[in-house]
Amino acid sequence: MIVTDVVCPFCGCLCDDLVIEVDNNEIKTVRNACRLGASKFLKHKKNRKKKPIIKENGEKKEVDFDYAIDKAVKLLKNSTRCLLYGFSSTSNEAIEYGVKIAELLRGYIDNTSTVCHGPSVVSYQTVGYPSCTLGDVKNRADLIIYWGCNPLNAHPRHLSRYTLYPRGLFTERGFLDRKLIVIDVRETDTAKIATKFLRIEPNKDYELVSAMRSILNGLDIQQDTIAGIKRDEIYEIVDMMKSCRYGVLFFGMGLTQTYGRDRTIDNAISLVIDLNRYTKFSIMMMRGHYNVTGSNQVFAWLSGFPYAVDFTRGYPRYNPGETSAVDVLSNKEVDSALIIAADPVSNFPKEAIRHLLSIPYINVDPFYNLSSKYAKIYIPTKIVGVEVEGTAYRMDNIPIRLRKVIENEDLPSDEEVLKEIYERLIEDEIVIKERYSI
Amino acid sequence: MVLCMKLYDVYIDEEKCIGCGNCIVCCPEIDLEEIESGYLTKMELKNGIIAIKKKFCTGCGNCLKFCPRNAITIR
Repeated sequence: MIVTDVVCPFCGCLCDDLVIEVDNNEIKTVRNACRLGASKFLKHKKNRKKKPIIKENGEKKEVDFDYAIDKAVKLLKNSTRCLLYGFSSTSNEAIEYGVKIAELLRGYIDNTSTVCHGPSVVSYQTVGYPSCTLGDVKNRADLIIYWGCNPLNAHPRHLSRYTLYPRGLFTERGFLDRKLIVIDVRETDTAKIATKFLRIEPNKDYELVSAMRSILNGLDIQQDTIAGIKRDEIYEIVDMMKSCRYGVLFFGMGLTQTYGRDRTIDNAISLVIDLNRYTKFSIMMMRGHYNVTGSNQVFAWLSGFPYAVDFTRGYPRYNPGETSAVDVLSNKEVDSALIIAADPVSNFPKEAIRHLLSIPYINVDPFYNLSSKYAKIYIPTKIVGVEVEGTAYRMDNIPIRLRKVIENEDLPSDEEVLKEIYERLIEDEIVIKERYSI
Repeated sequence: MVLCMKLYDVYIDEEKCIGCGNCIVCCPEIDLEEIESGYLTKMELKNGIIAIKKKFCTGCGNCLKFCPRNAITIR
């Protein structure tokens, strides 16, 4: 059987042109996917469990789903403050239940953008987000800038599908009609194919953006070099930006996580706003996990805030730096956690991991990862986009429906597990109301 | 007069190829309609690696220029 128009559930590109050959419920070949996407389909059986695992009296044992969910509900109900974290590699439908659980339990809820594009999200709340869709980029953009990101390694088909190479409505000659500028601290694979590569000194991004804005606003630069880049080169780049028909600035962790963080992004967005006085220019974040944009969107629909939401007072509050997952764990403010489709143990700061490992937590994930290993309750689920359908948001905030490719009767989906937990908590709502004296 | 064009062999180093598809979209021998339909007849992305389906290369060298991993050899 050939399944067409499959959407790849790996990175924020959400390539929707995959063709997959399935024989007897086994994936045989994956066409049109990059190596990262193809491996998610071809190696979907790796690191999987068929039964939930519970740690009791220091021993791990396999249990059935009903028992594991029951134990999870008891754990959440008996905790004073819980943290819900993850959500970037699951469907919007599951995220919705996550927010409902956090609200019911009066806990904290956060997604992986807290250790990723969190500062960018704060920035676009401050100065706005003059963005576009990837379709606009394909059809109109003649100047592409990648700042602090390396799409050829992290989003391999980004250039061939959306930015540099595709032949669009007003860019009929593909790469011949476009210019590519890469600004990075090292010569990455993307930098090797760039029209112009600027090697910037680490943590000097704010200075370079400010210098560009100064030139745009009619001021002269006095220094010979700024952020390790010669004055003439900065003037040349600004001229390229001003003279293009439509430019797009894509930025990644290299810009977001340098000194200044959200202030650097404020400045970069302001640069794009300044450039719009001369030409048409847009800015876009390079989102990593395939539905991290979706988790921001769903959180914002339901609570008004895109990440780091605090329901402890009964209404949503938002203060990154105080209510984000890393902070509440480092400050030992939670006594239980529900981790969905994420692996914080492998990438959180040491203080946060130390507290996470000291409290009982539940891990709901299709793959058995490092966080699953130390979880009190691990519940395996279906892979969204491979074994179950779902909706996800592409990096340009476009919702795309993921398709099911193969059947998996053994496991429930993330959505089903969270729905079950939510409904069992609702049954015990009286207990929760008594606890909070509502 | 019959114009004969020499066709070259394209080799892909499977260890180096990351399946970005840059070589397919910058190749002048592959039609836009083919790329947009997702059904390619000359070269394709199969299991995350570029696969050559038939001999078609005129040796323009675009793919060499834009391959980020230097995974392509033309002989």
